[in-house]
Amino acid sequence: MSEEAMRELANQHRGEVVAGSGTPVEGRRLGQMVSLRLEPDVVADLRDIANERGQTISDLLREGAARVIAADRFAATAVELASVEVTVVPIRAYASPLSYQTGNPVYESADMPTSAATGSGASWSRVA
Amino acid sequence: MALDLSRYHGIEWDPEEDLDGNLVHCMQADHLGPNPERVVAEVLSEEPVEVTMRVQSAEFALVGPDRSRSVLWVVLFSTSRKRGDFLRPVTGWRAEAAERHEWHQARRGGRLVRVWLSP
Repeated sequence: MSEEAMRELANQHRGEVVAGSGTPVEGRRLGQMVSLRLEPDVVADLRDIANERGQTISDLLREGAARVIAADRFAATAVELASVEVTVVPIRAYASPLSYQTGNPVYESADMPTSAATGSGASWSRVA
Repeated sequence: MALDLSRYHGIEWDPEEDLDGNLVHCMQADHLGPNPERVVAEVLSEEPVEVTMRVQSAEFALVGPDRSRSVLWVVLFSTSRKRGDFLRPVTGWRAEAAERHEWHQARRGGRLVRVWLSP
């Protein structure tokens, strides 16, 4: 019976299972053989590289596949990070260690000063 | 005797360009969906149950969950003609009621437990 005929017959009788015939089977992870068509010069180049490295073309394609998967996962992570909203909140500093270290006064303000010295455009009061 | 998957070392899929091949067939929505490779791999590795279909078509029929355990699938296999140690998915579908019942009966709703009895 051709595979096409098997498919048709099987699908015509979906759900028609012999009662009580179920038998547990020990599960197993099986590798999957995937067929693909490549341009002849691609195959030739891969063969040259494989020979130089002492590997097979299959090894190279598995390496390539792993890189594609890794790049895709990296891109997905980057998109997730890009979608994170970051809010910057000015810090009100009282007796900041910075003032002791630099000797410079520390100001508090709800607004970021446009001038470091005078804070023009904002109201500042010296706290340290 | 139950199917012994240790006899097999791989799954054989036809090229995606082969419109009559097993991959394109299984990718259909009313079969195994857009990632049949994942479905087959998970059915084989999770808790498969071999069942006998009333009408014999392929060599083996397995019923089992995917890793999410939210769906029970039926996958029919034949031995590859190119390699006797490879399985070819022939067709498959989401398990129907009778097939789900067989799985639950065989697995008793849980994992297979082996009991070794001393002589």
